[in-house]
This record gives sequence, C-alpha cells and structure tokens, in this order.
Amino acid sequence: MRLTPGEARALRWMIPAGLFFLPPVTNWAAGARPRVLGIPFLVFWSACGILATSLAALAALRAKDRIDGPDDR
Amino acid sequence: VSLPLAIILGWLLLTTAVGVLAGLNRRFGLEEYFVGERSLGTVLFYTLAAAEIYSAFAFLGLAGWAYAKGVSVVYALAYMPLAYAFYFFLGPRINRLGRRAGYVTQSDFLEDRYGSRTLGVGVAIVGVVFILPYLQLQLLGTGIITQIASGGALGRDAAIVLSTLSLVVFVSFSGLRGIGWTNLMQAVIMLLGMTAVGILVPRHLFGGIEPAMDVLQRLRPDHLRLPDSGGLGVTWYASTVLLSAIGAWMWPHVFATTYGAASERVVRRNAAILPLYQLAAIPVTLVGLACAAKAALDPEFAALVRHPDHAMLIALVTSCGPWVAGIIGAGGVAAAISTASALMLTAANLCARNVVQKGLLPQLPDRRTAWLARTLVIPVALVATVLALRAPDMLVNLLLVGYSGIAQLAPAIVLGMFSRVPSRAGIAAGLAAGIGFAVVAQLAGWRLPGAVHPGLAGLVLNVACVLAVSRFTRPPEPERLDRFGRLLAG
Repeated sequence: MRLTPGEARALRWMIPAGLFFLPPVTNWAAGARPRVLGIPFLVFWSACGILATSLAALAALRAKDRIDGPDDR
Repeated sequence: VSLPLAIILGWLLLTTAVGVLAGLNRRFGLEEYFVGERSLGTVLFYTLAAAEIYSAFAFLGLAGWAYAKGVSVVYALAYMPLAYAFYFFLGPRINRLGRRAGYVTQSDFLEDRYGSRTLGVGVAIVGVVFILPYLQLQLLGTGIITQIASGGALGRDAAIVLSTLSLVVFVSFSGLRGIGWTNLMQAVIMLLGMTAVGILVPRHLFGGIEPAMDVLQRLRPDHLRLPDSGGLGVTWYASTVLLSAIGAWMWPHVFATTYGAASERVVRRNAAILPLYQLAAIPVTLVGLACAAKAALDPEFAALVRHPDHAMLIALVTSCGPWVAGIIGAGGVAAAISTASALMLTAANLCARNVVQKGLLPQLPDRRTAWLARTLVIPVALVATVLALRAPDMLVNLLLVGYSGIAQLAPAIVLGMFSRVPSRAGIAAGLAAGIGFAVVAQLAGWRLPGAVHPGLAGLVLNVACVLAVSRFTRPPEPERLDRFGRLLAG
C-alpha cells in the first residue's frame, strides 16, 4: 500500500467508522431495541454512523495534515 | 396551470437559464467541457457531488422501499459514509492523476495504467451500457414526480420531454461547469424538499413520527426489524452496504467529477463533510415507514398507492397544500435532473473521447472531440428518452445489475493505484468474470448463502481472477509502471 505516513495515521481514524456497518454490529443494532427517540433503532443507529464517519474523517484529515502537511496541489 | 406545476416548471426554467449562463463566454476545449478546467472549489464540488449522488431514488425509491419492505432500507443510509471513507484515500489520487496526466475520463486512466487501448474502449462501452438505464430511470423519475406532485396537471410523458429538453440545452452548452452551477441550486432545493417532506407528511398523517411508528409497530412489526417484511437480513444488509460503498466511486460520472476538483485538498475535505448530506435521507426514510403505517391503517390510502415508489408523493399531495407540493415536487425533479445531467455528459464524453478519438479516429484534435461530445449529448438524450417513453421496463434488468456491474471496476482502479501486480490480461479476465457472474446471478435470481449480494460475490471472483491470471501473464512494462508511480507520488 503506497499510503503516506499521514494517511497511515488517518486510517486509524477511519477504520472505527467502518465498524458501525459490520454484520455483528448491525446484528446487535437490529436486535437491541425496536425504537429510540420515537424512531426505529436502526435508523437512529445509521444516523449515528453518518455523524461518526464525518467526525472521524475530520480527525483523519487533521492527523494527515499534521504529519504530511496540507494537500496544496 | 396548477400552482405546483407552475413551481416545478419555473424551477426547470431557472435551472436551464443558470446552466446556460454558466457557459457563456467560455472557450470550450476538452478540459473546460469535460472537467470544468479542474477548477471546482469546496462548495461547488460539495453540491455537485451531493446532487449527483442523490438521484430520483431519494424521492421515489427510498420511501418506496421503506413502504414496501421496511427498515432494511437503511442500507441506503449506511453505504455512503463508508464510501466516503474509501474516497478519503482514493479521491485525492484520482484528482492528482487527472491533473498530472491530463485524464478527462475514467477510461483514460485505465488505458494509460495498463497500456491497453482496447481495455480503455471496452470499459468506456461498458460504462455507457450501465449509464443508459440509470439515465432512463432519472428521466422516468422526473415524469412520475411532476405528474403526481402537480395532481395530474401535466402528464408523465410531457414532463419527461420537457426535462430532457432542459438537460440537452444546458449540458451541451456548458458541460461540467453548467452542471456544477445548476447542482448548487438543486442541492439546496433537494435538501429543503427532503426535510419538509419528513416533517410535514407524518404530521399530516398521524400528528408526528412517534404515533406513526406506534401504529407500525402494532400493525406491521416486521417493518421495524431485520429480516424485515422483504425477508432481507443482516448478511444481505452488510454485503449490500459493502458492495454499494465500493461501487459508489466507480461510476464514470463520479470519477470525472473528481477530476474537476480544484485541488486534492478540496477532494479530501469533501470526503469529510459529504457524509453529512446523507442525513437528509433520514426524513424520507421515516416518511416511507409512516406511509406503510397509514396503508396498514387505512385501506383507502393503500388502494391509492399503486406502486410503492409513489407512496410518499401520494401522501404529500393528499395531505399538503399546493405550495408545499410544488416545492417538494421541484426538489424531486431537481434530484433526478442533477444526476441525469452528469450521466448524460459522461455518456457523451466516453463515446467522444474513448470510443471515437482514441478508438476510431486517433487523429481527431481535442477541440473537435469536445465539440463532438457536445453534439453527442443529443443522441444520448434521444435514446434514453425513447426508452423512457416507449419501453420503461425494458432496461430494468440492466438497471438491477448496474451497481453490481460498475463495482467490478474497483480491482482495476484500486489495485492499479496501490499495486504493481495486476497485468492487463488479469484485469480483463477479472472484469469478464466479475461482471459475468454478477449479471447472471442477479438476472437468474440465484440466492447465495446468507443472501450475500451477488455483486459482492462477483467482486471476490474478480479479485481472485486478477491475482491468478496476473501471476502467469506479462505485467505492463516497468517504464510505464515507473512513470505511473512518479505521477502518483505525493
């Protein structure tokens, strides 16, 4: 893999975001409880996944910039 | 002319005007027309990508799936964030290669990386074959949304023709830049429409989301669990999320958009903020579920919904005022048109650049190729429109396998960037095996163990073929790989 050192660090932030959608986690989420805040739990869980991915990507971007310098091309 | 129809047609007219204005006083060479002179900043790239990704499915299919099958529809919420995580690493490389090597289409990249013009032309043709049904579906979407939201004031076929005319005018006039500016508007009205529908429809039907979900839990509890009413379980969900996340950035039109970004920083920043747009799909999903609750409670409403995809719009026109129906209808038309414009442009560009300029007429200058692409928008639009009007179901099977098929490009692209191993014969064998398996398995209705998505199984077969065949065949010349490595170097 030809990742830069900054990207390799960024990967550490991105992997946990992917965990939201893995079968065992989904299996748990599907059976956890039917609803939360009035909406189906799986919909709520997906919303959490979307927010978590965005936050993780921002942290990954920051980590990448700190190590490699900002992409300026 | 009814008020909702006036709003939708006014929006269509405004879209056309903005699209044409974006291209005024521009000298259209290859880079300007195909990739907007690689000048898209963060905001324009954000709205362009978001509006391209949200198609008519956001207003028809998403709620329709939730209405018919239930909560397994959340796969559509889940796969994009995962796709953006891949894109964080892939996107800047696509942009860098485009800038340094002058690529303007996805096939340019594959042809150069593997040193095979035949592969470039073949992938371009495959791309157009998968784009056409997707484009046809968007045009059908504009027709259905306009017809229902306007209360039948304009027929489906007339709406399709009007939308196509608008698209042909601004796409052929302004290319990617025109699509960028129109999608800026489309992204805003789509967001407005999706949010409004999520708040207003459940409130009109049940007084809010919570009572709607209470009814659903009581009358159709299978709609709230996996496996749901469609029998779709966790393995299906996870494999579909993974396949769709991999396939999302393999569509030729999305690839070309990445070439258009002004810098790698724009691409990477967008990979971080684009997932947030996905939150807009949540209200639509909930409306689909609320409509299912309404149908379970009220047989008259159920009888009105002749196709699950129409459920949300029927609930909208029966419960909201004409202003709201018009604005949400315009949002739906915007979702379809913003995707259709990019598909139309890309199909014409692939034909002009990779089939004609690189395949049939290698002496054709770039400037003439750009003009050819502008002209080819018309036949592409014509074919898609005729199919939408005369044979709306003919390509439905091809559409079903579209995502599975296009995801098979992933090994060629990803391994092409991160590894020296694949040979051109390996890539060709992998593509043939992966596409062949996915198409046959899906069209024949094979049920794989655990209901794993056939496209994902095809992808595994594809990678295995690439690695196996590459082991015994000649790799691309070392000079080519070294040059490619230098292009990719940060």
